Formats: sequence, structure tokens, C-alpha cells
Amino acid sequence: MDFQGIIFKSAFMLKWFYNRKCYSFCTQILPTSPCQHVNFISHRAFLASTFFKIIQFIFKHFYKMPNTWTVVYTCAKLCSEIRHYSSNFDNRVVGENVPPINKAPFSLDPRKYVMRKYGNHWKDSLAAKKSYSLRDKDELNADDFIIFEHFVSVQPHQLVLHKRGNCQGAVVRVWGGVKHPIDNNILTNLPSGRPWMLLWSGEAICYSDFRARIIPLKKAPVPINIIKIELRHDFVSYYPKINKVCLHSDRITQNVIDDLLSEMSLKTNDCYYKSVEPIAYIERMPTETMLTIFQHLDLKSLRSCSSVNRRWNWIANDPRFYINVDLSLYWNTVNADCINSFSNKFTNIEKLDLSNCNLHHISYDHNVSDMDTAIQNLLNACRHSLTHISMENNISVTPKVLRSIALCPNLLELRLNNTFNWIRFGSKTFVEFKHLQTLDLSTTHIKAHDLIRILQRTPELLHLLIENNPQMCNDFGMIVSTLSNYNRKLKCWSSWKSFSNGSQFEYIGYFIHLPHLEELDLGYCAPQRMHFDIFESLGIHCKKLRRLILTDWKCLETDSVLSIAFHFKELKTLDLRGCKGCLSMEICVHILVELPQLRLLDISSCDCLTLGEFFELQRMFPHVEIKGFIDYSCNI
Amino acid sequence: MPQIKLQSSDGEVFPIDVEIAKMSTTLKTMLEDLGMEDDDDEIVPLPNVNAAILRKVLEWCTAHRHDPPIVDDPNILDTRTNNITCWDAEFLKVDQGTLFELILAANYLDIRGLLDVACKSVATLISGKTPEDIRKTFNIKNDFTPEEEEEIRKENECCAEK
Repeated sequence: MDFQGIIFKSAFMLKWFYNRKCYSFCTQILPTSPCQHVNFISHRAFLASTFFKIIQFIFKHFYKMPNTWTVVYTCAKLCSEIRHYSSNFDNRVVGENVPPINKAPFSLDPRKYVMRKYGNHWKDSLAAKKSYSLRDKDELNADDFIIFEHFVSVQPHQLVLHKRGNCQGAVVRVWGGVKHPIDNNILTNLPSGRPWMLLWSGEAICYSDFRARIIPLKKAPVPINIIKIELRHDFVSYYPKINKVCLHSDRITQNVIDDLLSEMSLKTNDCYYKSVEPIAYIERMPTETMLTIFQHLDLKSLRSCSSVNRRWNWIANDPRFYINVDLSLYWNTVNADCINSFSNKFTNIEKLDLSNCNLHHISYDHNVSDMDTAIQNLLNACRHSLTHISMENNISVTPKVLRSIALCPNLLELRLNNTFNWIRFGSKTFVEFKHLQTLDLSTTHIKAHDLIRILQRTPELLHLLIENNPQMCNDFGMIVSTLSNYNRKLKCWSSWKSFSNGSQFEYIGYFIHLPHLEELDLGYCAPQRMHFDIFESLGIHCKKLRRLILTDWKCLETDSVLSIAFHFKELKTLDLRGCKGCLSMEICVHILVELPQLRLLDISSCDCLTLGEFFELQRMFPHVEIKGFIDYSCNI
Repeated sequence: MPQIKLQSSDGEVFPIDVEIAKMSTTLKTMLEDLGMEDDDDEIVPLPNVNAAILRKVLEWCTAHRHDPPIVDDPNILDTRTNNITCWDAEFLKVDQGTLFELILAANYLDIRGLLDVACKSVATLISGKTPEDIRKTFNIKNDFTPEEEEEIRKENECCAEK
């Protein structure tokens, strides 16, 4: 941009600020009148940088002047189908202009909680997902995400998360997007050519108080209405719940400033680079050394290397770099072309992670054909080498993709958490993977008889996760009895929230035939009535149990709790949330004394202790994390 | 402690402890195969390494002589680049010419630890850069035709910057 342009633009800006009643502000930062600047006409660079600084200053202070701008609060709705821990029937609307569904400070309503995991306890689980590729790691350790839709498109300058638990501290990234004007399931491309734009990123913070968190956002180039928030659970000491998400924005577009800023920053960056006669030392390296160097690179850098020149392209395309492929970190850019390029070149992939790779899609849509065809081709090409497949939250897991997965004979791990197509899968598919050890079909709507047919063919199964499949409630006995016949090696069972109205108690009896069981998660799966000695017999047969989750077992009686404390000596995690009526201070002390391995005890919503007793308990057993009263404190 | 003498390509002689020389698998094999351990006056010529680089290599070996041997285990293969120790980082603050000469020397002498850490250090120079930045960093010429470049760019779009 030439000098005249600068003068013109800044004059325009000053006028613009003047019109916006920022006049006093402008005079304050300009020590001399604009005329005096003309003296510096020969020092064009100086002038440009001065203006640049001024504009930066204005831009920075612009955020601190809420009075001059119209602040709009908009509220959001969850795009439910894409989250980890929502039930399909949970379409809870959050926002202050929407009638609240349930204003109780805490409750065990299974629909209430947005996310389940917190801290590091969940990563200890035997069935927890381990990263498929050591070289690709998210530096901010995002574990989970939620997507909100806002009713009004805005260019927000900040995002405000309101108190509910301590999820505010867990936020590590904020993305923005624009919903397609006609098709509700997809996003349109932003001017950058991509559907998502990163608006903010930063470290998670461990909050001690629970005020609303204000996150400043980078200016979006166009008004946005979809917000994706990535969260990290390490620092969250309890279940993260999000109460309200607000975008703060002014209605006026700031394209003027943005244009000016981007043009000027372009200009100022230009002047550095000068090349002296260079020597390409790296080109003298033998190929084997280049391979050693490249093995330290993540996927993104490796693909950059392949575009450097022909030799680098040849080295970076060495198939041994593409054995463990984790594309979940590149969810916002992975498209069908990219997957096709993999299936044409790298057919010895063993671990493949395509979690979250939806690009434009924010909820299920029939038009995913190019992506699911690409995935299908890739799966068919690598059929014999694949051992691990993870496609959590991936909308492209269509029936034909599932059919290709079913034909991978050497599969050890399959994770399809939050993919909705089992219901459309049909029952004719013949499952080839006979060595499967880990199966995660949480939130898949799989039917019990389909699941049973898989279980019958996978005798090596160690971990089975079928959380959040509420339609399964009546067939539970059948599933567990199949397990006791066909899958005796099972170590982990989780059916959290898979039962809506209670089920027959007999199913628990079948667990005694699984002697290797170490983790048993039956949260919200309480039977309608209890058999008094159920934990007695379970305790005798499953001595290795380390994790027992009985959230919302209202029917639990004191005797059962006592027999848990008596039998499960290896127990490290015990969740009795909402087990009203069976606990007292005395019993809590008894549990903590009897179970020396215990590291986490959740007795929240049990109404069994006073605050004083609770603190006393924490003081007496400092090595155990006791959850109980956090629910009260974070809802004040 | 027994010593041997190493001679660099430009003729300088370095007397060093056998213990340090044995950190180089090449020298170790040679000493063992030829039974040279008793002969103090023998000079080992290293025609591929000049004095400046050999001095650096020996500096590294002396500092790391108590390191445990590197075990190859694919399960714990550490491919991350952020675990270079302070000492090594300081040691590797050299111009690119020296860095790559070091890699060649470490490769030739087969010193795993030095080769690994130097390769990691080069990897950090590459990591996160665009192809054009990589070319600038290492002064590499782009020999793709525009058509090839376009094709590769399309393929790699998926892992381009966030």
C-alpha cells in the first residue's frame, strides 16, 4: 500500500472512530496533529509502522470500551448429535432466553450432564483410548468437545461461559463456523476456504472460584453462528457441566480495521528476507539419515516435507511413516481427497484414527457420500493390515463403511463411540474380526441382537463399552449371559446410561461367570428391585474388581454397601452417586477403612453427610479423593 | 586407563580413553576385531571427520559417557522432539554446516545417542513449517513442475495449517 493509501485509510478510520464517539480517545493517542506527520514523509517506513502501532492501539483498546458499542448477548443451543456424552433424547437447550428445563441445582436426571469425564481417573481405565500415534500429539491435550448453535450470527469479541461445575477452566480452544443457509447439517466455507476458524486457544486453567469465564476471541471475518469448544479434562476436578454460553459482540462490522491491519502487517513483514549465496547442507545427508530425521516429525510436518522437492517427497512418502495414522488432530481439514491419497499410497496402515473428521458436517446427513466412499476405499485397501480403528463422532460411518470395517480380519480394537448408523446397518453383515479385544459402541443405537452376534464371534474380547444406548434396557440379561458363555476373558464392562426405566435384576447375576472382570460400570442401570445378596456372590467370583460405578442406584441398601466393602478388596474407584439412604458417616468410614486401595469415592447427591462430616472425612482419609459437596459449592 | 589415538582427516591426533572411543560402535567393533586394545601407539585414522567436528564429537562423548545404552523397543520409541536436554541443546547451538557434519560423523562412527539428538534437533527446525519455509531454512531448491506441485498441494491439504 502506498503512502497516500495509508493517509487515506487512516483518515477514514479517524472519521469512522469520530462518528462512533471515540473522538476523545483518538486525540489522546495522537500526540501531534495529523499535519505534523507529513514532515516524516521521507521516512515512509517509520510512518507506516507508527500508523500500524496506532491502529493496533486502537484495536486493543476497542475491546475495553463496551459503552461505545452495542453489546449483544446471544444464547446457544447444543447441536446434540455430535457430543460424546449426550443421550439422543437429550436436546437440552441452554440459554437465558429459553425456558429452563430443569433449574434444580443438581439432580441425577440422566439427561442433565453434558460430559461425564473429569480429572485423570478416567484415563486410568483399562478400556480408555490410547493415542494411536506417538508423534502426533495435541499440545493442548483436548479430550472432548461440544458444538453450539447460536440463534443470531455475530462477530463476537468474547465468549462467556457461565458457572456450572468448573468447565470454564477446561476450555482449551474455541472454533467458529457458519451454518449453511439451507442445509442444517453442514457448515459453509469461510473466506479462508475452510469451514472452521480458530477463534481462541490457550491452556486450561484450574479454577478455585466459579465465576463466569470470559474468553477474548479473535475477530471472525464474517458473522458466525456455530461455536465449537474443545475441552481438556485433566484440570477439571468434577463433572463438567455447561450452563450457558454467551457471545458478546457489537453489531457493526470492523472490516475496515481488519483490512487495514492485514494489509499493513503484510507490508511490514516483507522487508526482512535477503538471501546470501546459500548452501543446502541438508541435501548432502544420506537417505537413511533423512529417514531418521523424519521419524521425529508429526504428520503435518511430514506432509509439508513431501512438498519441498522431489527427493524429500520420495523420502517423506516412505510407507513406514504411515503405519499408525491419527487424523483426528486434523479434523478441521481432512477431506475426501486427503483420504483418497492415503488409500492410493499407504496400504500398510495398522492403526487408523478418523475420530471427529467431519469437516463441514455438524450432524448426520445423507450427503456424506464422497467422504464415506473415500473411507470405504481406504478400509478396503488396508483390510489385512488394520488392527485398530477409531471413528468416534464421525458422521461418515455409514452402513457401507461399517460393512468394510466388519471385513477387517485382524482387528483388535474398534471404537465407534457416537456414530449413529448401527440402527441402519441391517443384520446380514458377517463379522470377520475374530480377535477383537476392545469394542466401543457407546451411543450407537446398536440393537441387542446385533451386538450378541458380534459377541458370539469375538471370544478374545476384553473391553466392552456400550454406554448411552437406552433402547437396550430389556435385552440386558441376554447380553450378559452371552458374555458369560462366549467372552469369558472380559475385563471391562460399561453400560453407563444404557437403561432408562430400570431392568430385571437377574442380569447382574450373570457377571459372576466373568472371573477376570476388573471394571464394572453400571451407572444409571439399577434394577427395579434388588436381590439382597447380589454383591455377596459377585464379590466371591469377581475378586479382581478395581472400578465399580453404581451411579443412581437408589435401591442400594446398607447391606449391599457393606458387602461391597467386605469383598472387593482391590477396589480403587467406587461411585455411589445418588445412592440415597444407604450411606451414613459411619458407613463411609467403614468403606474407607475396609478398602485400602481406594483412591476415588463419589458420594455426591447422597444427602448422607453434613458439610462438617464431609470435611472430617476428607481430613481423615487424605489419600482418597472424596467427591461430595462440590455440587453445592459450584452452584451457589 | 588405556588410551588410543584418533587422527582426523586434516592430520590432528586426539589421544582419548578407550572407554570413550567405545561409545562409537564403529570404533568398538574395530578395536575388538583387531585386538588393538593393548597397543597404545597405534593411530586410528578417521578420513571422514575433520578436527573441528571430531573435537565436538569427543566433547559430546565425554559428557555422555555414563549414559545408559539405548534400547530399541518399538513400543516406547520416543519420537517426540521436546526431550532434548539443556546440555545437548546448548551443545547443538551451531550453524547448519556444523550440525550436518556432526550428523555425518555420528553416522560414520555409529554413535546412536549423538545421532538421535542431532536428528531431533534438525527435526525441530522442520517441525511446523510450510514447505516454502523449509526450503528457506535449508536453502533447498524446488524442483517440482507447477503441475506436480499443485497435485501434491491438493494431496496434502488435509494436514495444512489449522
